[in-house]
Amino acid sequence: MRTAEWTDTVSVLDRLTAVLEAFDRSDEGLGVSELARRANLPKSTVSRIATQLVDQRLLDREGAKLFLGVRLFELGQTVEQPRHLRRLALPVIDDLRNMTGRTVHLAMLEQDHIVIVAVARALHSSLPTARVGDRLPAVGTILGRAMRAAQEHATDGCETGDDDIACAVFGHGGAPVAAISLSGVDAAEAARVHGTLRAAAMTLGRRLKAGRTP
Amino acid sequence: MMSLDEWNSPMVKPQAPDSVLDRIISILDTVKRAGGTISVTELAARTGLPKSSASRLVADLTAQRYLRRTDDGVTLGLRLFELGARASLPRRFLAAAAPVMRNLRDTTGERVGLWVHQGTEMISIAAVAGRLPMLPTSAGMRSPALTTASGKAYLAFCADRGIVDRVTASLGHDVAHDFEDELARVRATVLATDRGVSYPGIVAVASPVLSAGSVVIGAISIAGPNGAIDLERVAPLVRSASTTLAHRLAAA
Repeated sequence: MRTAEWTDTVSVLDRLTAVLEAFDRSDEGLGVSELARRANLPKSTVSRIATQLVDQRLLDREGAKLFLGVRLFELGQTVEQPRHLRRLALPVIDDLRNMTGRTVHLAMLEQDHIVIVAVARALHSSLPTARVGDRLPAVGTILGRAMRAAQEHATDGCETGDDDIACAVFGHGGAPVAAISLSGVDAAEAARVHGTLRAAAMTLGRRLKAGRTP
Repeated sequence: MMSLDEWNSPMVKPQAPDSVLDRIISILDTVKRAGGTISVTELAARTGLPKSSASRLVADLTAQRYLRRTDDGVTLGLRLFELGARASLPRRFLAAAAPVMRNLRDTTGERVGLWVHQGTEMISIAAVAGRLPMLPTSAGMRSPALTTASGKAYLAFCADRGIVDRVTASLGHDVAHDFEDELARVRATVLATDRGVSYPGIVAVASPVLSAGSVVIGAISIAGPNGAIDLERVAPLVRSASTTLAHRLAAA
């Protein structure tokens, strides 16, 4: 049975989520009006919430602009699975980027979505690219498709797209727990780098199995 | 020997939080400090919340992915990772600071830290390894603003008197007076020092980092073994690093 307090809790959290999720990738910062528009909340509500959130540093204020706050950064750094995965994977994906000269992405799967956990950018690429913390529908990305294919045992865990290639990373019990991709590779290059990418995925899989399970 | 987390904890146990937002933050903070998985029972005990309230909040937070259920309880969820990656101040600050920090480490040989303020504490948002091994938690680590070099560097230049007052609230009259004197010296030299007070055996030197509007946004510090650092040599290097960083932030 729902009590008034229950409803209160749900609406406070919903409002909090709406405000926090209104911020996007850019470093521009948002004024209260823009924030209210994006969060689809009354300006007076957002103004009140923003003050509380700035106080708690879930938002930071600089002049008239609001930004996602340092407390979120702090909390985000502590989330276990991505932290563990990053720690093990960063040397592997750095090597892979250096060997291939291509941008490398590492993502983990959470139900129907992937979350980008690490990126090693190609030095001379100016292409816009998915960033750490991006959450995307799995089916829309080569990373997600590689993990899905691996779940269905359809392939060796690798998938090739129009201009990218990804390989699943297998953890305990042989289930795919992550995937690595190379971007900006045409079919010919994909065929050439397939072995290297798969080796990197296997290295990462071994490291994950050797370490403690997050 | 105290764990680092206990060392960094506030001296006074906080009362059970009042508003729903405060409760949410208390829960997330407590899960964070637990450093892994924590049971709902333990969470209720540590936050001072009734178990039924804690349970309901945990269920809501889990549904919205701020928390994730594990075999033994809950841990922080992926939503926090996603939002944290979009937290702008650290990212802009870090982009400007990375080369300055590396250069400072190269010229001093010591560990370099970049700090921002929260409440009565400083939060490390980046660290470059030097002679001293990295402490168990690196980025995201908290230190008391009252005794650390980075904290004093920040407080001395903080325009908001309220923040300084909150930090000094627990001090006796004489100690508070001495502290104000020290902050005045920090303002004069643009340098703050911590000689083994926060972390025995470790000396740290810090300088404030000012943003475009001359607002102090954090501090840059070096830390090394007590007795093995030549403070006269490294202090000016820290100060000049903070000036360089301020220029980079203004230009960005």
